Amino acid sequence: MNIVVLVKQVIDSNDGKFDPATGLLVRAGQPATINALDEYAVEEALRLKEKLGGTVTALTMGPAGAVEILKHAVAMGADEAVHLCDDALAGSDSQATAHALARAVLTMGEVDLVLCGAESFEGATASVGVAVAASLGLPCVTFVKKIEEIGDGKAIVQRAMEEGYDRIETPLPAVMSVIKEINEPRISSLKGKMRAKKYAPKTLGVADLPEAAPERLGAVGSKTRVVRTFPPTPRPSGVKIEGEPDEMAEKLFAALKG
Amino acid sequence: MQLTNDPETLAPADCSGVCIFAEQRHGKLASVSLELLGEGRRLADALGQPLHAVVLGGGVGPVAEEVRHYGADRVHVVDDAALEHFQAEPYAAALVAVVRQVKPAILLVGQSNVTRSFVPAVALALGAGLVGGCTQVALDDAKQNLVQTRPAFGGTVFASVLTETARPQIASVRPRMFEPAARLDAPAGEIVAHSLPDDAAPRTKFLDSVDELGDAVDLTEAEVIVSGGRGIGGPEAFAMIRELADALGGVVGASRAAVDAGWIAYSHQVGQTGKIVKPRVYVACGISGAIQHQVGMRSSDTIVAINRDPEAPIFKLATYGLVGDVKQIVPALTRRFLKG
Ligand SMILES: Cc1cc2nc3c(=O)[nH]c(=O)nc-3n(C[C@H](O)[C@H](O)[C@H](O)COP(=O)(O)OP(=O)(O)OC[C@H]3O[C@@H](n4cnc5c(N)ncnc54)[C@H](O)[C@@H]3O)c2cc1C
Ligand SMILES: Nc1ncnc2c1ncn2[C@@H]1O[C@H](COP(=O)(O)O)[C@@H](O)[C@H]1O
Repeated sequence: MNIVVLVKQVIDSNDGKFDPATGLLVRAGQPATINALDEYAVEEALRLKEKLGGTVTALTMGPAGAVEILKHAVAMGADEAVHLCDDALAGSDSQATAHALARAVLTMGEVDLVLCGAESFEGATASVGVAVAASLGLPCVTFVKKIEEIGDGKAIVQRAMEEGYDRIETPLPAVMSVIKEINEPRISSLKGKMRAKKYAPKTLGVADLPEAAPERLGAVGSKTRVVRTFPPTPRPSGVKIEGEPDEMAEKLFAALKG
Repeated sequence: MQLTNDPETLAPADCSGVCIFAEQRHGKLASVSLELLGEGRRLADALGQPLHAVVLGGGVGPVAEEVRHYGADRVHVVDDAALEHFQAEPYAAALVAVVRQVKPAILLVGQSNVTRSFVPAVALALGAGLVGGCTQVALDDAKQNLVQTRPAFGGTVFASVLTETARPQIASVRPRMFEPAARLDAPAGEIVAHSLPDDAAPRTKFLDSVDELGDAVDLTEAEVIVSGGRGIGGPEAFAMIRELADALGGVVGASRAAVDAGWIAYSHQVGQTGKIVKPRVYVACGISGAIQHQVGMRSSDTIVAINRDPEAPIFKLATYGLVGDVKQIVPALTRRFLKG
């Protein structure tokens, strides 16, 4: 089973900074890390490979520094890593990102499964995986919490919904987005870390993408544009309720009913 | 694999009106749909243009009839067995077909696992922009564009986003952000039936579904949530959490630590990797208030925190902070609220 895992670099901080002029996220000088859910996607890919054979390739689109998260995927056990990196891709919204990623997947030969995280923390649009699938003309199963069966060109998976989960059968190749319930990611082995240290990901630019429409890439190709960023209104400071449990209950009751 | 061709986009000049996706689950209208009908009406009135609603499903005649009571001018229905259980492909095909006919300037959907599973494909097929997780939408001064405001980084920063060149402007809106539309006694608005496009047969197959919440409402739509964390001590302590939730007319939530320990199902998890909730009252019991938990509940109207550690970060968010043992305080609260 040949698996591509989409991994995204996110800022490892809770206060994102945006450039007031462009409305774009400032990544420079910010500590970066792999998007939490993408680690679960890598883990799932590795488990499938261990069971069924094949290859695991991590793919990211992002600035030069994103190499680090590809190395992280390699340290975990990914066979190969591909870095889609081009100035023309800066400022992509989720649809433009998907347009580019789908075309990068096409350069990877026979792919049976594309795995990604259900959503990324900083943007949390949860839309890249679905749009990549649509762009590739593949079926997509979102919010996968368990792959029950996979092989022979099909899979049966559990898709989390608000009230519980649905069981869905999908033909392969397909795209699946995963949630954290699916597994517990491994700690990279020393051997993996050594390999990652020396590993140089393959780099792709826009020129390498088949049928990439320039008008659909990067800031130019993005239909949405951030025009303003601002901090949330701070919560009013709270009050402490003290006393014996029954007194506390009395006071809270009065406060909530009042 | 075959790339989908470049989308045929709608000419902005041809587009007008507001369209909302009236999501139904198992024949019941999602409450966020009523919120969209309320907000959609306000936007449509400000524009002086019609409000459309779209209902997709199998055997959804009664749902469409119900939507007529909430003020949409036209209720577009695609009623087809292929839409009975949610699957992304036929849903996307159906909504794309309706949007191509209606040509709305604005399309509002409620943020849910259903919409997040297929609306990005709709946006791609239409060559339109999609802004996810909005907490606010408003027309700009010229009434040309929809200013779509959404949090990023777990709510530590907000961004206003425009979709200037493409139509419709698709905004996915979080539940419980808008005043729901009031129910009118007499139905209004006409039903417009559409058929599912021929090429909409799904490649996926729905097998069955498992309900883990039982009769409880979905957390994202709940008015009151009582959540338990590691500090409640064990799975049996969720009985006490549930009793307080019942006394308050609410539902049970949990921190990841409680879910990971296997004390309660994942569908109850609040936070970055769980659900983002905005109840009127959120009661955090034995939860430290890690940033990943805060992300999921910080916009609740009122936050009550019960924790024996006075330094727990949750107290920074709490409207009411109760320092002490959950095992004593939670039952005391239940007794008091049951008394009324
Ligand atoms: C990538 C990532 C994603 C995550 N996503 C989420 C998420 O979606 N949701 C989430 O909740 N967490 C999430 N977490 C985990 C988060 O960081 C915390 O570990 C978790 O929220 C802690 O849960 P807790 O507050 O129940 O447990 P703890 O942090 O262990 O806190 C227990 C609290 O209970 C108090 N306590 C103990 N005994 C009592 C008593 N008898 N009476 C009163 N108080 C008592 C303690 O003082 C303590 O404050 C995520 C973490 C990561 C790395
Ligand atoms: N720039 C990117 N490069 C690779 N994968 C991405 C990128 N952006 C998003 N993804 C994938 O899509 C998922 C959903 O991201 P989002 O739509 O941003 O919430 C992530 O968890 C990643 O797996």
